[in-house]
Amino acid sequence: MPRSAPFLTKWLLIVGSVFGLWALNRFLNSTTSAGVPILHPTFLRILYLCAISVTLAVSLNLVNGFTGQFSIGHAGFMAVGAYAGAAVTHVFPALQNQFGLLIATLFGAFVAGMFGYGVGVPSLRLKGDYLAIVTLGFGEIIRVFLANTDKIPGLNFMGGSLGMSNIPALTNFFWTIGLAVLVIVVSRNLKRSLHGLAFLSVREDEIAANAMGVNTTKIKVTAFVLSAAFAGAAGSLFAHSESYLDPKYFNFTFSINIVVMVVLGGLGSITGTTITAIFFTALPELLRNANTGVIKEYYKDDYRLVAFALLLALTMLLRPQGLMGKREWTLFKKRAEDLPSVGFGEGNDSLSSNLTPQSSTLPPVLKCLDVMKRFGGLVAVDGFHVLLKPGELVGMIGPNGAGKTTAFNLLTGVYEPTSGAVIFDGTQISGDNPYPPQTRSLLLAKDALITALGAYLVGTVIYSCVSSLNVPPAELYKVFGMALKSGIVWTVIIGSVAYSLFTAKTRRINQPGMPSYQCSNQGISRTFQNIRLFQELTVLENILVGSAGKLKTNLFSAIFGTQAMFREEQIARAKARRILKQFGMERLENEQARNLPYGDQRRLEIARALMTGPKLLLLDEPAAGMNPQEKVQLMSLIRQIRDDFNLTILLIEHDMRLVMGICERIYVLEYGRIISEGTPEQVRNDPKVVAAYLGVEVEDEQNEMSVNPGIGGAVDA
Amino acid sequence: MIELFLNKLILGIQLGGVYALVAVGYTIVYGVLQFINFAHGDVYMVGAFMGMFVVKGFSEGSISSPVAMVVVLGMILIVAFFVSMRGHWKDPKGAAVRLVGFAVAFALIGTLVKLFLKGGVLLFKPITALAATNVIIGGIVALTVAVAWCAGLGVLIERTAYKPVRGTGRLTALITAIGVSLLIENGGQAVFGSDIHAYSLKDLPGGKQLLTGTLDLNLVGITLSVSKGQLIVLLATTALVLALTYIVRYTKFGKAMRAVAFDRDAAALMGINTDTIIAFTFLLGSGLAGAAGFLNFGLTGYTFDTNTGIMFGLKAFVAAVLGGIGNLYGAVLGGLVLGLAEMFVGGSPFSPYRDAIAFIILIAILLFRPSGLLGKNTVEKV
Repeated sequence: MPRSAPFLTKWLLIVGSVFGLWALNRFLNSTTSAGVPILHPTFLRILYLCAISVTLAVSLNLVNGFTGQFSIGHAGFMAVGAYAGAAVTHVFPALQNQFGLLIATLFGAFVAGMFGYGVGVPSLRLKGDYLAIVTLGFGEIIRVFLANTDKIPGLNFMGGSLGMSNIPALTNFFWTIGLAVLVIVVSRNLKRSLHGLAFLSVREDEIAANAMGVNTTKIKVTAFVLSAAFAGAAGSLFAHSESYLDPKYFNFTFSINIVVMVVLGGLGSITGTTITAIFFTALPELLRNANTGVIKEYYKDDYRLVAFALLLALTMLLRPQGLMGKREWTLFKKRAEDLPSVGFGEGNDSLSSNLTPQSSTLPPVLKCLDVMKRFGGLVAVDGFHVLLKPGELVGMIGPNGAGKTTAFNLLTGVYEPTSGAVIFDGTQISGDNPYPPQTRSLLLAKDALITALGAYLVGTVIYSCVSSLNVPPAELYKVFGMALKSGIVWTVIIGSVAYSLFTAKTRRINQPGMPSYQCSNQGISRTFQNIRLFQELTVLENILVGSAGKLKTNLFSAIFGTQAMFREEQIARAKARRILKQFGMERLENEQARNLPYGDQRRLEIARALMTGPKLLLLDEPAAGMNPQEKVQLMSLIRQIRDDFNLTILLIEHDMRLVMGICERIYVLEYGRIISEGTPEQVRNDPKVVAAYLGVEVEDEQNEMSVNPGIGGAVDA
Repeated sequence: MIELFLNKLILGIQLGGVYALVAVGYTIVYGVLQFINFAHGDVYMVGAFMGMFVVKGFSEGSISSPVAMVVVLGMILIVAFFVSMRGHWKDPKGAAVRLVGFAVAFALIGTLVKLFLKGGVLLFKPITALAATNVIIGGIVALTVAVAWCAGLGVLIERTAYKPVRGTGRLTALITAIGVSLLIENGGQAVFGSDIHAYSLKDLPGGKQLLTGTLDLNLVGITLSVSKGQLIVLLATTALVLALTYIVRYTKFGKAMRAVAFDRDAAALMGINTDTIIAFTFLLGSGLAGAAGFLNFGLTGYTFDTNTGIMFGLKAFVAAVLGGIGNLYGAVLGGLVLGLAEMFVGGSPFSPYRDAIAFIILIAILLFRPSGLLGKNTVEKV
């Protein structure tokens, strides 16, 4: 719905559709005067199944399509929700009515969401195929667990591998379609909001998103939990529609089917996912029912499955981007563009503010104290000490592999320093920061406790495996008691705790530094040596991601599309356009980032970094790949943004004319150490610099290249 | 108790060996293409079926025409393999292999032409008669047919399904692989039927003497009895894994494979025909999966159907990831860990959770070593 429409319209629409759905439900479940049902129960069931599939597929799309993670264990969450929901109506017979179904479904969603959190937090650290296989593993573990519930006291009503039967058939058209519509609306609102943009930025480039202040871990876990909760709700409806649950139903193949729906519909496309979900659910069911009469003689159910598989492979060959690609069909017009009347003047980033640079009385913006970073045996940066005063424009030069980019990574929280400290604006952002002794002991105790518990579990399993125990499955819990008397378990426990305390020496000394997104929110923003734009997003969206880390509204306002969210978004858009205009790129705002020429991509990175409202801007080779004319323009642009945005700038550059031309001070790095610092004039005449870097000994430089091929090789890319 | 423990240990290693055979297929393909070949477990299933056709054909005394077809096609695939190898065995070590290859190829082609000229499956009688008299020859023929069929199937899948989508993104390839996997499962069901099968080399003459009973080893006062069939599986898988390691490490093809795995574009620029190498990788991996399929069912008498490959393939993949995907030794290690864990848990009170143990170990290890036991931890360069 258009956001410019009055709120009343929106609420009328919501209330209207709920009542409409309810009326339709009554109609579809009613019978004609002759006593014949309006819709054959078989078709009604297919309709429910379609809606449940849509819910599953669209919710999985939140993870696989929006955030670009690859989860293939969705059936597990559905199973959790299904059993949890069914348990509610089983345990409380008073709830075997429509209200009870609502409670059961909410409970199913809640439990599945909790499971999603439990699974997501540890496993979302993994990427790509590893994440996929872990989600699959969790799905299988849940299934195996559910197949053994009959042996667990208190849960035996779930029936184990025989399945849970006699679940009251409460699901109807209203709930299933309602849930499908809800998940579609939520996804759509999210996709259109700034919060959604943060989701997409994680998909496009996690490191860049992090550097723009997006808490990528939180976003991934949020998507996972949201998606699991919807799957759980769908599971509860499924349980109360089929009246029977079999753990085998929620197997790997089922998970894969949901993934297939999402990919074939077009990853990220809600429309496409919905269409394929309906198609792939309805078609087999309809074919099964068409399996009578003449068709029956020639039709074998195996052919259907073969055809399905062929269709899948062929679609991928002929249309790899899926049915819809990333496009959407919209019922309502896309939201109205921002209103010109909305003001955006927040004091600190107004264009006219002009603080005199280099006021020596102000405290330093950035202070690095003897920062050292070691990768295995290689000391990349050592004794790094940099002091930046507000408003300074400082350069950092040095041969390839001197550790310049590593230094940037240390300043932005991408790497944690091995020793030393980084202090930004009076706050220590990383480095030596010892825990107070009490906290440290507490942390060590916590480590030891967790290790002991884990070792107890593992030890029990090992003990029961190697000793020929004969315990009936129903009394499996007794094994844990028996294990305590065994030496194996105690050996494992004592060994692990000793190991954990022994290694704790290195683990729990320093408080962890700020992660990348926090550094960004503190006011350090950066560009990347190898351009890291969000390739599939438009220029404007790229810049808007810069504001996603500092949103005041929360996810719920995005999902429900509140006015506050709308206003905040307009302010952000106005600010983004203002920056674009300053960069002379306003005409390109709807262009995809990957289609921009190289120079524009570099400038877009700077623009995006400015959007986060930084105090300190780190530019990593901003002029790389630019022609001389563009470089001259860039020089004036850098000076101008420094003044306009009231910034301190530290830049890495190989182009000496640019560095000497605009920098007020220069640091020279070689082999990870600062060998010289001072004004361009001082540095130029420093014999050490001349010898090490500006010197004419070509051989030396070649040697350096061959010493550090990894870092040097990336520069020319 | 120590005997029981050692017995389980050996059984675990045997099961682990079979997992390892399939896991190396996942891992070498992943190493070269960074792609999970989801259809790999189904190739394993096809191997079991092919072995069954041959063994059943032999044990029933005469070869029925579908079996003859299986054998003939298998032989043609072997010939095609050696012919396609031509020109690639240029190093001295390879020359010997090439000679043998050609000899075998000519002999086979000659035999086949003769067979076709006289027109009739009856002319398989020499082989049949030989195989029927000796379980060892019968077993070798069955193994060869299973390996050849699966190797051919692997290359066929790669050429028809994966090659066209190469370069269009990993998800596309993954979904295509899922499609192929479903195609083999459901197609297999349409062709072979959905019955549960079992067969054993014991059915061949002489098989009972060779394979029944246990072998008792006496080690310092501890008697260890191992079923003969399982011992053979253990030995055969060890030999095959060693052969694969040899190919990957010491032959020119292996070197090319490693180069392609390291950087496909650079390898192509250095004059390596990457398409051939990729096909060769699939050939090796799928051939081993076929061998695993035959060994695990032909010598143990376990039951299987067309869906057997799903769970087994998944676990073998878990084994590959556990060890560090892309790493050959990692796959073997992962397979062994998995086999041992399943065998031990299977005999403990926790046996109902046997199917979950693979995934529990996987998750536990990935949380502490995100790239598997032997995998290299790659940090994305910023």
